Amino acid sequence: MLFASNYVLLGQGINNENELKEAGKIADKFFQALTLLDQPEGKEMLNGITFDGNSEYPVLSSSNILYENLFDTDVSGVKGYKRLAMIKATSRADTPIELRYILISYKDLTDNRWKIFAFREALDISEEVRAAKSHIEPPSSIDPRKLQSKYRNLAYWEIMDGKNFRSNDRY
Amino acid sequence: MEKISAAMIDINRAYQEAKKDSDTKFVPENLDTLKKIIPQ
Repeated sequence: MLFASNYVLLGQGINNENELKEAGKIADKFFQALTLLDQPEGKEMLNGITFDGNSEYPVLSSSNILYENLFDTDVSGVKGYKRLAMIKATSRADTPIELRYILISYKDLTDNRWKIFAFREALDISEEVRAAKSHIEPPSSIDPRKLQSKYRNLAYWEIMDGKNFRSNDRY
Repeated sequence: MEKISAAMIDINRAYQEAKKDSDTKFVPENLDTLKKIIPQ
């Protein structure tokens, strides 16, 4: 016998499965665009699937998905999508490179579509949040950057992490 | 009342610091992104 709470859980499971599929589709399209990025068609494909239209990305020759899944944020109902991939690309010096990259995306509530927030070399995001905080409190004497850059950097890593979305009421 | 995240607070802090530095080029672009991600 299924109780109401089981139906809720079942519903959430199906919903998560659909969201994962949707987020994965956009990530696939993004990777496809990166293989064509040296062509106008590749740049056009990026339209509407990234939050920031000004970011620079590598031109991929191939990629291999190592991991993908949704992750929880600390705002109820808001999930993020993470993909780790081994990518093959060519550096600006024309040297072939093979690197592990991380992709983070979130759903844009204004049009209800998943969009890429960041695509960069893979690293430990929680450690980056910790490091970014440590440059602010206590003030680091070895980091000459202005405080505005440090806060901006911390905010970026908090968005990547998704665990620092906790909502506070602001007046 | 507006829902705000820790990341939003830090972008606002960055913006306040930029104003102190008279940095008119500061663009809090991630703030716009967050507003699209977090239900307001």
